[in-house]
Amino acid sequence: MSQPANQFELSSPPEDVISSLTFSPNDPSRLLVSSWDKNVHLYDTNAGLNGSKLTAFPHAASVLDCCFGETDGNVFSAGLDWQVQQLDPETGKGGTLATHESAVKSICYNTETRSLLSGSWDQSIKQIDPRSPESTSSHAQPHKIFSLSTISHILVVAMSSRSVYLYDLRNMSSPWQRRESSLKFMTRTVRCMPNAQGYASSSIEGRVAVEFFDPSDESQKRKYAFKCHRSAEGGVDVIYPVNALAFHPIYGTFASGGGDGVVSLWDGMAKRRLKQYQRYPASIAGLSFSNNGKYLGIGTSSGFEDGKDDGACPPESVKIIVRELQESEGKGKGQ
Amino acid sequence: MADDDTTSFNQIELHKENIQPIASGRSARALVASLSSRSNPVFARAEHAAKQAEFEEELRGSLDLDDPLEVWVRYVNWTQETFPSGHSADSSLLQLLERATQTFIHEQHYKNDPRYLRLWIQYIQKFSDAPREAFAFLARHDIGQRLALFYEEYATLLEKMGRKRQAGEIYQTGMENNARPTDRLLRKFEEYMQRLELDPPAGDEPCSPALPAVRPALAAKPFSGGFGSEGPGGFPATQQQSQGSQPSPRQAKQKMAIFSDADAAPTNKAPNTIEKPTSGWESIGTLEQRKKENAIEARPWAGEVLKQEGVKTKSAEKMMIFRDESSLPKQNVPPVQQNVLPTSLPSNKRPERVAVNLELIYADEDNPTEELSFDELRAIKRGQYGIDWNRIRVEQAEAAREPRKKATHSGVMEESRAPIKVKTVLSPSPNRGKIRRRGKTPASPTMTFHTRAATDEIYDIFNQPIKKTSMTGEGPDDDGSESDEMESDGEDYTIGTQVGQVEESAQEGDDGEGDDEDAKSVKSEWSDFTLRRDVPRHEQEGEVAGRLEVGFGKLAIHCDEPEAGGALAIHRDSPWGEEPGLPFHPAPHRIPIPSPPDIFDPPRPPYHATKETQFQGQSRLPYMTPIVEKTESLPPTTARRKDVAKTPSRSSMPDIMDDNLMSSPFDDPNTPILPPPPVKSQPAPSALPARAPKERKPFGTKPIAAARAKETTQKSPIIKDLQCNPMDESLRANIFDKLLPPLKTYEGFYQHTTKFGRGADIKRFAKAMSKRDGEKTAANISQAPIIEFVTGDGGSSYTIKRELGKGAFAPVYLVENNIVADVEDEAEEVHPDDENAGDLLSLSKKIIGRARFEAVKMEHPPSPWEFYIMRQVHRRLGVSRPVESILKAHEMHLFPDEGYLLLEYRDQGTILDIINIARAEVGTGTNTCVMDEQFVMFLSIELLRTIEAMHSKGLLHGDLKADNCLVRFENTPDNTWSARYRRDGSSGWLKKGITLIDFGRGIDMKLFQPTVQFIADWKTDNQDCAEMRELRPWTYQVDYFGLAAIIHSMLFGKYIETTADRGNILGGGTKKYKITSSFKRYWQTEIWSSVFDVLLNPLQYIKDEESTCMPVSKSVRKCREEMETWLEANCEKGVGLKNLIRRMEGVLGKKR
Repeated sequence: MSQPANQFELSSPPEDVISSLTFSPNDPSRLLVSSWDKNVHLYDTNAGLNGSKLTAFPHAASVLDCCFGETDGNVFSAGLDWQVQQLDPETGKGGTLATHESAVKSICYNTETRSLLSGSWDQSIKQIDPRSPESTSSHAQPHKIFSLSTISHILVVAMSSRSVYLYDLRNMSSPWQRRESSLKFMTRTVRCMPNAQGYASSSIEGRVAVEFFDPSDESQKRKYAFKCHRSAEGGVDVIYPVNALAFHPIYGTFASGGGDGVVSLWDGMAKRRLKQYQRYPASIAGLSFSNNGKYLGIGTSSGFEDGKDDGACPPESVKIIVRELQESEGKGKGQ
Repeated sequence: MADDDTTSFNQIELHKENIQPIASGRSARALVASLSSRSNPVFARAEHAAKQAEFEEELRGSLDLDDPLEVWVRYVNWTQETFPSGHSADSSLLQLLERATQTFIHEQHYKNDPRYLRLWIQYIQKFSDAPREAFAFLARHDIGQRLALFYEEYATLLEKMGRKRQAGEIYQTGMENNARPTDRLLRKFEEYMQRLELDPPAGDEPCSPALPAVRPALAAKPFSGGFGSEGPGGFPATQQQSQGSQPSPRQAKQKMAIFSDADAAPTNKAPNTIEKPTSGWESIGTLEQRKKENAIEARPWAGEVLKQEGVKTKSAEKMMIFRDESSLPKQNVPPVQQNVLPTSLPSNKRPERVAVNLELIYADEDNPTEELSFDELRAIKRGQYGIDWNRIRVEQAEAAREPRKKATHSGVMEESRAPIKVKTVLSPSPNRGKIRRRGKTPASPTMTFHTRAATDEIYDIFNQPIKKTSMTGEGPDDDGSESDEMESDGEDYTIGTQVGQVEESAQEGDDGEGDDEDAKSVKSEWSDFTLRRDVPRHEQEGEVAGRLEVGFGKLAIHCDEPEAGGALAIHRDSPWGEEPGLPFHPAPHRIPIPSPPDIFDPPRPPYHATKETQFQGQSRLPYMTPIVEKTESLPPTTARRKDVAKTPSRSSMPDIMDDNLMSSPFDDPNTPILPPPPVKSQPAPSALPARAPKERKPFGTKPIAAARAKETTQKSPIIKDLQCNPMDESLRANIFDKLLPPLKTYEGFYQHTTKFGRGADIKRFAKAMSKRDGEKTAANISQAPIIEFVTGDGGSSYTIKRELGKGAFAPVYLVENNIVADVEDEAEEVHPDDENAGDLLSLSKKIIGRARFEAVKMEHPPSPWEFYIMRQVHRRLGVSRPVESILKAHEMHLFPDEGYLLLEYRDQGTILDIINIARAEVGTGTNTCVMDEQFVMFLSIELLRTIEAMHSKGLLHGDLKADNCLVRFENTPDNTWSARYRRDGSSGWLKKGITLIDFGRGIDMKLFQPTVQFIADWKTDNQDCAEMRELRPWTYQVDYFGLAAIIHSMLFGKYIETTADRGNILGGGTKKYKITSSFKRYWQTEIWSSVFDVLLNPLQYIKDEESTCMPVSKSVRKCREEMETWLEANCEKGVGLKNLIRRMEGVLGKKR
């Protein structure tokens, strides 16, 4: 299919479902992708025509999440093999930072506390200092962790059974707030707003909720949810899960990616949709804005997320698309 | 004429249709007053409201009064007078009556208060939608039973409904109960009789007992106390089956009991068809509750969907049908099929559906909020869920650490064990080679016999800390050997396997990946050990052989035992003969001398063919030698052995001790005695070569067997209650908890702790298959789900073919047993020489007694109950003719979410099929539309014989009906089958019969007190025995009635209906039940009458029994013998029995 001029497909994408994809917070051309093909791939999106893969870090089992650390020199991964690894892009080697009792589903790096947070299906999160992994602390949660996101000193933990806990990373002894997702279906992803006011969460039933950290009543009144990623197919509205969320680092708008293969841009404050990109051929698996807000990395792969009952993922459905945003493309209304 | 005092009717005239009559008459004045207040409704309403408030206030204080009912009565009366049109939003007459009646249900001293009864009657007459049920309810709660009014009203009602006979029963019951006023009742009865004469009841009136005969003992507490059911009173009345309604999708979710070892406390009961813990029917619910379908309950919305009005989708219908057949309400995701969720948002008028498969995500029905994320699903799908990576890493680390002497070290799982042994034995000699060079391991066959001694020995060895240095690829942790872990036999990760602790190093490679600690099968530790050594490895280096030799040697000897004869001698000699040079090493740790083989005699269950042992005998020959010798010379560790209360032999049924030791009232002298238990006697230190050639000494071992047995078998009934509901989940859970020997020691039983989660998959496939019947394309077949179970002994794998049927609880699928299929497919290529014999034989355990096609019953919620019962039947019946008539349960895989019961497959259909075939045939000789009497007689004999045998061993089937009897007509060439019926089964008659299935309601009497009685807490109908219907306790009656039902349906082609012949009413006399259908003239009416008489009235034959208690086997046997005699004499008359059967075989064969 012909690509619009402002986006291209990254060369040598992973061969299996993409579990997560993230741009470096420091370099707008470094893109890290974790995949069920048991690798973490690091790309240079600027190189050549279609970018190039710099390294691939092999793992013992499928990798479920990846993130950058303080600098591009350290990169972290988490996967089905229960481990949180620190990967060195220079040497291509990895080392275990922490081990859970079950697959590690989500990790994120918090710059303020310089710690890595990992959440696992073993119903615990760990706070790890990559420089001294022996001081890792573990915190039990009531349910399996499905998604983590962090900003400033706050950590949002989204779990099964629609539980959402907010932690203050400076005091992990107990959750700062215990919430229940305002969405009625299983939570898929959470992402914090860059302005640390709140977070967006998405469910498997085509909805996104925007919520705020401030527990005061008036703040809580502002929270809302909206439907998205539904398409009419043959007279029936098909509702897709919203697999990926990403906030624009500068404008605070956010993009959502669904099982329908559609990426939409939303203005959370104005409660409007800004843009809806042309549908991609497979379910959106991951989204990430580059640190300068110029690029949007879109990972697609097929599976349960787009309704395949057997979860099959044909390799050709796995793509990474880097889209260049126009000047004001990421801007919210009235910005 | 208008009067001031009397009210003129004119004032009422206009409204007369709106006025509800009161039996005792209305006050005209009051009527006028209320009617006239119509003119000023607002005022009137306020007034009424005030008055109502007044009453309510009174009610609140009424609890203090001596006679609170009085307040209610006044309130009700006022309401009726004030609101002539009866119930309305203002009057709330319905609610009022409901409250009034509900309040005093348990109030003893109102039970026969006519005012209270009248309240009920008003309620029933005005509002009830199931009046008969209400009256029955009253009866059960002993309300109004002494009041003539009750019976009069009820009888009148029945009469109106055309149930005149029942009405008569009611009158009689009333008179029996001396209801007062007695004269009035009598008068009414006589009036009724007169009416009856003028207009006799129709012939096909329902004649079941109109009223449950409630015993005072039952009406009282026992219901809540004795059954262990959780909070019966707390159940919303929505559970009432009286309406026979399906639980609405929007009801509060009823949780199903999860069977798990860890947590045996079941949650609430499932709203399944039969197991209603209504515990005596606490209430019939308010009308609102009964009409619950019209209202949606408020409840948390996790994953819920609100239906939109006006959106009619096909799937809604489909869903309903689906529900009707299946008893598994997927209540948390109502529109399962197509995930259609009509929303109530007005903006979107299009129907919606969720793209993802909610069924998969919310797969755990027990816990509707338990979700599986996509990644989990994917992991499960790929078999990567639940792998214990920590363990793998540990093992890898260990393996990496050890210097590896041999390059070929795949499958070194057991290396830690054997080498150690070798070391200890030959400790001075660093050269293990000697031992190792013994040649190839004979692989598994020898291992399949697991003797206690062998087990103990091995584990003793491994329990000692050993230096691992020079051992190749030793496992890290020998102590683990005593655990019961199963190791996956190098299987790939399969769904739901949990990699548990692997003691030995787990190399990558076939058996590397680690344990399936969850798959606990019957195997004892020894078996784990040996089996892991299976096929793939046997070709390997002698090292393996060396390691295994010890075990083999011993085992070999043991196994050979049963064969007796020369082979034995040879084997035995060798240990002693060879390797004299090897020093005996009294090991620093004590290794037990296995007791001399002669003591061991593995009891072989009937379906483990003896050919297995034969093979083993041959192949074992060269390998046993020296180690055996060594070990035999070592001092025993008797202490160790005592501790292990495990089943001695894996291949045997664990509770073999049972029959021998327990004095049970059910001993049937005809049952073959199983071989003596294979318990090791304490090996004496002097158990030296001299002992080896000794012959079997079964008697010498008995005392120890006894001692051991006490640990492993049921000492006493588990359930102490004298009255209980045997289907109760918590009761069963209790049983499993305390069962000795425990279920996990049963052969073929595997308990997994992680979920399996394939049920939805399989159901979908089956549905798809059934839809495309006839279009079975290759694509469809290729998608046939393959379920694989990982166990320590090689696991098993089955391919789902199609659905065979759906029971009340579980669908049954035809599966292809892949292991058997593979073996059969390769049969030609495998030559039975030693080398490959191992291959074949390693699987022999898996294929002995198995077939290519089998059936799997998918249980949800999972319960090993049926497995347990079936195994007990086989155990206790041993090798006998009746045991052929019981279906075999091969394996049971128990997961927290699902249960898979692997059963024998028979493809000839059921008795029900035969009945229908017979019905379809027109004009078969003298019989039209029913089965030939000879055929019926034949099948009845089979049934009776089988049930007699089961009963004699204390086992009830519990659910006998025509579709639970498979036909078993095995292939018999004409010349082997005589046309003359032989009652002893000779001349081919053994091969014709039935096979009972579906033991989900089976009962093991030995688990209970000998005098236990059961109560049926579930809804009953004509197909249940009288005791159940009348809420009387029962035991064996359930089966007798079931038999009667089957025989009846065979004879008459319709479902059984019985009637109670009261005989002499006034003078007492017991009820005798008889069937209502009449025999054909030319039938053997005497025989059939006596059969039905015994089966329907077993209690009356107790006096003929030697034990003067149930079961009435003597009488049943007498009937059977009568039938056998007749059949032997008459089997060649008419078409002839053999031809009838042949013909049926033909028809059934074509049906397939």
